Order: sequence, then C-alpha cells, then structure tokens
Amino acid sequence: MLALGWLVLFLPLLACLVIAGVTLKHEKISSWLACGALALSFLFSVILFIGLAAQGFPTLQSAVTVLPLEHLRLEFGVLLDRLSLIMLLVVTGIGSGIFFYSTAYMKNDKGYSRYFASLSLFAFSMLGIVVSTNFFQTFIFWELVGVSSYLLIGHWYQKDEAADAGKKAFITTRVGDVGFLIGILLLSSLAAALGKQTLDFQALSELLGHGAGHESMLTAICLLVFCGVLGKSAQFPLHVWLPDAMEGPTPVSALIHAATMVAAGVYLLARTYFLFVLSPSALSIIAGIGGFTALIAATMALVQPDIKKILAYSTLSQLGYMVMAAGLGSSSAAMYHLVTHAFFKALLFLGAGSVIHALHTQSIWEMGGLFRKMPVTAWTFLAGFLALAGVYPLSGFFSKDEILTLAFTVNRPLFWIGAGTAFLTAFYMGRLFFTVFLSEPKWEKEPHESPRVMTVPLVLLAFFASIGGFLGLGTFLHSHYDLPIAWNFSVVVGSLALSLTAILLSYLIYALDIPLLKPFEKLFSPASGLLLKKYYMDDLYDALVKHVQQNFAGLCDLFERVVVVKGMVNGTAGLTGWAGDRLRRLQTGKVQFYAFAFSAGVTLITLFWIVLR
Amino acid sequence: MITLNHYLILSGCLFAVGMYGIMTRRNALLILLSVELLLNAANLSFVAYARYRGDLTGQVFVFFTMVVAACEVAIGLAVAILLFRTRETLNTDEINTLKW
Amino acid sequence: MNEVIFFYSFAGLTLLAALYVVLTKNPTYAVLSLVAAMFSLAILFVLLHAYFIAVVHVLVYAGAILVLFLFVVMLLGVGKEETPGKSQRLYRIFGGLVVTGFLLEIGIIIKAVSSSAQSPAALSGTIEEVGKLLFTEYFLPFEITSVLLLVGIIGAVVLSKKEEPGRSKQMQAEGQPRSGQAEDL
Repeated sequence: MLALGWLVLFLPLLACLVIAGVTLKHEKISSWLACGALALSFLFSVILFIGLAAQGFPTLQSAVTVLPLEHLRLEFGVLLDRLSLIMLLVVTGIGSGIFFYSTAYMKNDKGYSRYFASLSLFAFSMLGIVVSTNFFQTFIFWELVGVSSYLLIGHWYQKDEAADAGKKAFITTRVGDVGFLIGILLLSSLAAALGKQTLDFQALSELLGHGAGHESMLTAICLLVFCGVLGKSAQFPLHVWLPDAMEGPTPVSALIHAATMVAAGVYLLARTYFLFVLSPSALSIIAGIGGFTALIAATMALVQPDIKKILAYSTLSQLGYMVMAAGLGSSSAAMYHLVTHAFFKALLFLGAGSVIHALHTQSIWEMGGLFRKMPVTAWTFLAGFLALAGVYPLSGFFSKDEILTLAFTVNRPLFWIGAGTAFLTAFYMGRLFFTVFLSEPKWEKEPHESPRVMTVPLVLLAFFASIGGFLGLGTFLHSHYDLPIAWNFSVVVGSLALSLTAILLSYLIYALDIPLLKPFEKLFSPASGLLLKKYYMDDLYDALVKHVQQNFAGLCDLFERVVVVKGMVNGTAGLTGWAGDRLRRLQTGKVQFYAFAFSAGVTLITLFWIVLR
Repeated sequence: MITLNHYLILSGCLFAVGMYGIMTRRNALLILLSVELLLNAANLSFVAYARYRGDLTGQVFVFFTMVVAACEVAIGLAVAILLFRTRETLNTDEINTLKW
Repeated sequence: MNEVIFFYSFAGLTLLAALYVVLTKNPTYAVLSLVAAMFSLAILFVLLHAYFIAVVHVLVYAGAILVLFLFVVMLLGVGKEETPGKSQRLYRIFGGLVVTGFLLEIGIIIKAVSSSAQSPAALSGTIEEVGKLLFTEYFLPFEITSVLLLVGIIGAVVLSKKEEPGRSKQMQAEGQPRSGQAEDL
C-alpha cells in the first residue's frame, strides 16, 4: 500500500526529468508523458483510497532518513490518512484534468515541452507537501512549489509583466517563509525541551497532546508558522502576488492559484491543527486575518475588468474564508471548503480559459452574448458560478454555510463580515457571468465552442461542483480537534437569501442593463479608484522597497566597502607593509648593534623571569 | 670566610665586563677578545662549583671549554684576517653590507 | 685568613685587568692586560684546589691563544682606536645600562638560589684525579674534542688561503697568509 504512495509522489518527478532531459524537442511525447504520469498517479490514489477504505482508513506512514543529525533526524516520508488521501485525490484528479486541458490550450506555444516539465515538477512538489510526514519535508516542498509557481507564472518570460509577476510571487511568499522557518526551528527546540527533538507530525501531536504549557512560546510558534500560510495562501498583507500571477497561462491559474498551491497553506493548518489548538490567541488572530482578507478581496473584485483578475480576487476571498474557518475552530470546515472550492474554482478558471481561447481577449467588456455561441462553457460556468455564490443544492452552499454557522456561534462580528462577503461574492460573480454570457455581444470575430479535450474536464468539474455537497466530506474530514457544527436554520436561510438577492441585483444591472447604479455613480467613482488601486498596497510595498530596503542595502554596501574592505582587508595589508618597513631598520648590519640587542634581550628575559618568581 | 657566592659574584662581574666590551668595541679583534673574557667568567664559576660541591665534573668541563675556546679563536682570527684582506679595515662600523 | 687576602687581592686584580681590556684604546695593551687577567684567574683556580686546570689555563690561554692574538694584532698593524663619535656614545650609555641591569639581576639570582654548599668540600684537583675522570666517564667528549681540534686546524688553514688560480699549490707549501696586501675580491 505504502509503495503505491511513493509511486504517486515520484511519477510526476520522473516525467519532469525525462521531459527536461530528453524530450524537449518532441512536443507530443512530452505532453503525453506528463499527462500519463499524473493520470497514473490519480489511478493509484484511487486504488489507495479504496484499499484503505476497506481497512477503515488506518494511518499509514513510512519515512526515509535523509540527514541523520546528532539529535534530530530529518526525514522524507509518505503519510496516508483521511486528510492526505482526500487531498491526493483532489490534486491528482483535478491536476490530470487540467493537464489534458492544457494540451489543447497551449497548442502552438513555443515553450510547450517546458510548460509540461514545469507542470510535472509542480505536481511532484505539491504531492510532496500532501504526503509529508514532518515539518522539514513540508518546508522543502513548500519552497519547491514556490519555484514551480515562479517557473509557471513566468512561462512567457519574454513578456516583462510575466517575468516580474513570477518574481513578485516568489519573493512575497519567501517573506512568509522566513517566518515559517523560524517557527519550525522554535518548534524543534520546544520539542527538545519537552522530551524528544523531532519534527514529525505524529510524534509532535503525541508530545504536545499531553498538555504542554509554554503558552507564549506556542503562540509565537503558531503565528510564525502561520506566516508561511500568509505567503502561500495569499492572506493579508502578503496577498499582493496572486492577482499579478494571472500573467501565467490560464490552466496554470486554474491548477496552482485556485485549486492546489494556494490551498497548501490551509492544508498545512489542517495537518498541524494539533499545534494550533493549543493557542487560542493565535487562532483568533488567524480568524481575524482570514475574515479581513475575505472582505477586502471581495471589494476589489467588484471593479476589475479582467476576467482572470476577478477570479483571482475571488480566490483570495475564498481562501480567507478557509483560514477564518480554521481560526474559528474547525479544520474540517476549512478543508471541506477547500475541496469544494478546488472544484468550482478550477472549473471557473478553465471556463474563463475557454472563453479567452475563443475571443483572444481577457476583458469582460469585450465579451458578451456567449451563451448561445458556447453552450457547454456557459452551462458549466453557470454551475461554477452558483456553487461559488453558495446556492443550494450546489457544493459551495454546504461548505460556505458550515463556515458561516461556525462564525455565527463562535464569533458574531466575523459572522457579519462573512455574510457581507458572501453578498459581495454573489454580486461580483453575477456581474462577471451576466456581462460575459448574457449581455449584448461586443466582439467582432465569431467565437466557437472549444474542442472536446477542453470541454470534457469542464463537464467533469461541473459535475463534482454540483454534487459535491452530498458526499459527506464534512464528517469524513472531522478530526477530534474540531468544534462540532450544528445546523442553524436561520443562518442557512439568511445566507441563501443574501446570495439570491445579490444575484438578482447583478442580473438587473448587468444583464438587463437597468441603470440602477446611476444615482450611486458619483459616490462610487472615488471608491472604485481606491479599489482599482488595490487600496494602494502595491504602491506601499513599492515605496517600502525603494526607500527602506534600497537605502538599507546602500548602507550595508557602504559598510562593506569602507569598514570591511578598506578598513580590515586593506588595512591589514597596509599595516603589515608599514610594520615591515619599520622593522627592517633593525637590520643595521652592524655587529655592535646586534650584540647590544642580544645582551639587552637576555637581560630583559632574565628580568621577566625574576619578576615572575 | 669565602663562600661560593663570592666567586659567583666575581664571575658575574667578569661576564658583565665582557658584555660591555662586546657592545662597545669597534675593532673585530677586540670583540673577540671580550668574548674570551666571557668564556673565562663561565670557567671560573664552573671551578667554584666544583670546589664547593666536591665534584670534579666542573673541572672536566672547564677543560672542554678551553679546548672549544682554542678552536674558536683559531677560526675567528682566520676570519678576521680574511676580513682585513677584503675590506682593508677591521672597523665594524664600516662592515655593514648586511644592512637593509 | 690567608685565603681571604689572596682572594680579594687577586679578584680585584682580575677585575681591573678585565676593565682595562675593555676600556683601553690601544689594542696591544688590551691583549696584554688580558694576559694579566688570565694569570690572576689561574691563581684563583689554585685557591680553589684546581691545580691541573690552573696550569692548563695558563698554558693554553696565556701561552697560546693570547700569543696568537698578539701575533695577529701586530701582523695587521691595528692602530689605536679613533675617538668615539656620537653613535658610540649611545652604545656606551645604553651598554652601561644593560650591563648594570644584568649585574643586578645576577645579584638577585645568586641571593635567591643560595644553596647550602657554602663551605668548601674536600677536593683533590690533581692531574691524576682529573685524568681518571676524563678517561673513564667523559671519554666520549674527550675524543670528540680531539676531532673538534682537527676541524679547527683544517678550518683555519683553509680560510686563510689566498684564492688565486695557479698560486694555490704555492700557498699550501708556505702555509702562511700573506696579509697586509689588499686583494681585489
């Protein structure tokens, strides 16, 4: 069983290496290799799931020691339990769909093989995080995922914006990773203090389960580890890279920046929840950040003209929901939303890709009336839209309502934020859908429906987005650290009402073009300016880098040039030269002088000797 | 009563005089002469110890010292003569080609 | 009582002669006063019951070494030393300081390591006794010194040879250095 786990992990890596080394020139073979490897991984994941289901989902773990240090063993391993199995299915399943989709989307692209090599590398890295058994492995693969993301965002590197976006993504997540690393180091020393120095998840959960004390240290560790989540899952204030990451190809956005990589942060939270439950203060901070991110991201989505950017902000917002759920006390609610979100967000992105592929534009104001021309895309997009808006009976409804109910009972202010965000979500998605599919057409060239290899994944994803709520994932993922969530009728009905109202409003404004917004326009324009500028966060960071970092770097450079090089290095050399020049005058060549020095030396030494006695 | 210390102090004084001579003299030959003084000071202390400890080893050592001194003088004078031949002077102030 | 008188007088004589060696301007006088010093040292040796050593001392030092010195001094025609210049003053002053310091140190050390052997022990420094030691316990050094002497002889001869091609054989026969003549080497 575990051997299958290792295979699932390493097959994509194999594909990547073969493509990068051997088949770069043969496009068809490269794509087949990549798709085949991941599909095989998916197959194995399914087999694993069924096989372990029969045994009642025991926890299986096997690890290989990579670096045996004196007090700490650094390992790579495979951990198979309910959480990782579900995630495996999601990653390999949705991943395979997207890989196949890409074969058509990326046709005629110059970097076709390179694209598939990077995608396979990403798959390997993500799977490494999923099956990871310890913090060390997670961190290594965390970084690898960052690298793959950089490669994929900057796939069209000849375009300046794409290259810059790749750098921005990598650097921003790196900032979070510093905190993550410090947190890991602190955790390891805490574990040593508690008895056993280890980074293994199972061992740590046992160690910390016996009531650990060290409240402040634990809170610090939790917050530091959460820094990694801040970066990777794009929470405030490290959310700035995700919208820019839309420079990458759309399938990449679907896979990485919707379904999997950004979800890695939430997965980490769920995986290490045993640590976070020990610090209620950290959890409330986490919940607050999650809620805040959800709200501001939704506001920024309201004004975007680019279809992919709208979806990117929507992803930010939904990630905020997931983080909020974990902060409020239920990792299973967060993971539930993660799974459903993976389905419908990937669906929405692929659908957007289909539209972009047909019309060769990304602005929603240049689209319109696509419902008749691209029916499959339209219907599947509708399914995704309703799921995201949280409309019964689609999956999003169930997962979002769990979170809202949890907030209602635990933290009332966050509930209102969540509810408000839900309203905005439904509204901007309606804006998107009605403008693109149901408004007056604004294109010139006739669009066609996309090829089968692109529409089949759409249909499959739409299916899961629709019935996902009835799979019982919530209870499946429940862990004993989670707060139980009981259905609250008023919350459910209320949220449904909110969503439907928002959809109706957006229908009126964008599909039927009723000028409901006209009296508000004067009020809105300064606000929309603020929103379009992303609350000036990018400008803030830019100023920070330009003024703070550059000056500091200049200072360091100055220090290095003057003190280190001129002072110490040149100074030492100069001193030696000067000393040598002075000392050579001792060689007078006169015997008398030497005799004198001799005698004086003897006398002095004897003097020292006398004094010391 | 003449004790060992008397002889030792005398030996020390002779040694000091010899040192002064080495430092002060400019003629190569006279420097060698002062070195002889040093050697003799040492000899004196050896003999004194031999007497006051009842051990003849001191005297044997003096014997050897004298042999060495003889050889050293022979060769030293040969060098001095060579020096005079090449430089026409024995003034150590002027023999300073090892100067920096 | 006698011992005391003898010691102090000849010790004083030695010191005076030594000082004269170091301070006089005339090299010939310096050598001669060193001879005097050697003699009084020999008497001190006799006081210390080192009869053999005293005799050998006179023979070797006064009779051979210092005579050799005298030869060389006269051969090279070394004249009186010039009046000391400024740098010489410095040497004299600092040399004096160093020497005084040294003397003081010697005094301190001697006082510190005063051993119990302050009264003379029975000793017979005759040639027979010394010879016995020399040929039994210290036989190896004895033989080695003879080798040393050989080296000395060869060294002296080789060093004082003149380096002129064609004349080397002639030199070996003469065995005497031709000094006083400048050689362009």
